[in-house]
Amino acid sequence: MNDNHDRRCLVELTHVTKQFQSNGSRHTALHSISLKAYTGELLLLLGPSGSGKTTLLTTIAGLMPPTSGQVRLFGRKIEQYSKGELQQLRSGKLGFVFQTFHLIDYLTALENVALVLRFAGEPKGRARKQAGHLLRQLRIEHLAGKLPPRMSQGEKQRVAVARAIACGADLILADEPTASLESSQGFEIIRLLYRYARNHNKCVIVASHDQRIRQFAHRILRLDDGVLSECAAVNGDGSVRKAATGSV
Amino acid sequence: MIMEIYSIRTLKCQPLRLCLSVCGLGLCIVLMLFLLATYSGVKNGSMEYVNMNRTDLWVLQKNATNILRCTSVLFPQHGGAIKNTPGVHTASPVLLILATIDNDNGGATVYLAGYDPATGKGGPPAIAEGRLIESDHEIILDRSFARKYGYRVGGSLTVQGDTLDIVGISTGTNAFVIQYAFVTIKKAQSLVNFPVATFYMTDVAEGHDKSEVASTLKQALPSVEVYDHETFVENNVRELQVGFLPFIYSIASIGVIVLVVILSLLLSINILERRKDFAIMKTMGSPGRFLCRLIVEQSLLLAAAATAVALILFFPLVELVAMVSPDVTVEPSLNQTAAVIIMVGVVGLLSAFISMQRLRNIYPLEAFS
Repeated sequence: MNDNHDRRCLVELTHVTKQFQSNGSRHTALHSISLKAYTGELLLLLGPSGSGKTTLLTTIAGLMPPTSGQVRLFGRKIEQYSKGELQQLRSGKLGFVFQTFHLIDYLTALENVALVLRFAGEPKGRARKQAGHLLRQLRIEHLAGKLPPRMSQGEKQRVAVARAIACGADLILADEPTASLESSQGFEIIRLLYRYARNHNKCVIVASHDQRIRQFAHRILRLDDGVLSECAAVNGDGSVRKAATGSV
Repeated sequence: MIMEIYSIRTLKCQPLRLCLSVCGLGLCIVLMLFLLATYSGVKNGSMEYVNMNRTDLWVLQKNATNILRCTSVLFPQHGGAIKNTPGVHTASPVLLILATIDNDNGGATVYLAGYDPATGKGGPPAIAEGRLIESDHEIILDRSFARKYGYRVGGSLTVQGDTLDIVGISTGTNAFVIQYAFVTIKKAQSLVNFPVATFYMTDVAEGHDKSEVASTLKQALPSVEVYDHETFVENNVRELQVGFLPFIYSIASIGVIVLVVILSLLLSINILERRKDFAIMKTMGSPGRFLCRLIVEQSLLLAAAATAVALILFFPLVELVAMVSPDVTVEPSLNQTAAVIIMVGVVGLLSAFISMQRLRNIYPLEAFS
């Protein structure tokens, strides 16, 4: 993961600024962010709470338009996507992992995974079959019939990862995926995402304040008060290989 | 299938609310079934007398169109003229009057039909018990009237000072607000002290055309109206509908509105409580039709459950009403039940459509909050 030129750029942000207005005052959540994310890498967005990580992820996903600047997703300007195209993109090419898992409590693990496959247009039977296959691949087939309230935090997040990758999403956006987990469970989840990026040549963007997961990132971006202030490439052993500021 | 499972499980997660809601909806449906069945009972009770008393021509006073809400008085000379009209085979007079039967409760009013026992024209459509009248001191009572006031065949009652023997119990003679009773024409005329009739049931002699005889009657007697049987039945049905259907429709409409409101409210609460789920589904790219289908499924599930509850409650309720209030004739029919079920389905779809508007205000971004 050391040469960006060999890989496909899925996400490109150019001078993206996001401002929110509340009670007459204007708050800038993202300050002229420029970044690129490629297939085959796990990109870690490190930053404390309130630094703008989630705003950045939702802007990348096309869920929130930037105030200024340009977002290109899969090589196309985000504003060029129609509402229907964005919905199709989210059901097929994008996967989401949330801090609090956001599994549907009234559906079993298998049904939660099969649900996204149904959204992507898979027929009922095939969706269930594929979901079962994926759970087996991730060695969580024992959870297939379990409802989320009866799962541990770690189990929930593993199912959530299964759901995110079920459709073979090219881009996974993970918002604090380890925050609600113990260290070992957190590592397990990051390992899963890392392997997905590396083995399947996909792009995973993880927003987190958890410094412990640095070792799994191919690149690390630091976000403070909406400013992308640091860029680091990481070696296989977790040590920082290259650091820069500005456009990444 | 997954969405169906989700629909059922989310509804079942609040069992008490589900039960109360389904029962509430079910009672609304019972109200509508009951109204329609009451209408049938009234219609049949009011119309059976005219329907079953078949005759070629009904002759009434000028401008009278029916026997439910019209005044018609024909004098003996009318009767004589009708009988003497060429082509007329028989003309039986019938006198309908409101009469009070004396009892301990201060009197009960009946629609007393005086008819000629010799021809039987204008008599009870069916006898459930006892026999037809043969003399002037006999009376036949409607079954629900007899049940309500405890009259039996073999007993007697007093009408305006005259004691009459109860010889029969009739059916198809309950017109909801009033019931028919039958005496001889002579007895009825003696009660009003005039030898008058309300109408003449006229049969045309063989070989004569009904419409020609009707024209002849109209020309000979400008002060009468002549109707063939079908037209006269239609006139009475129309009169009943004009008088009764608006009442039925008004209450049924309120029932439908209540049904839509309860169902929409229930679905809307369910959507708001599952707001996060919907936001997550939208984030994950759920097509709009999936979420809409989910709401429609929930709505139809509730409607189906409520209909089942309504059908379970309705038929015992009909029996109960028949016991408690025999003068209210409730006649459920398969067609009406089917119509109500279809209507509930439409209400289900309408409520789902109303509730779906809530989905528009749920944003995928909410999944990140």
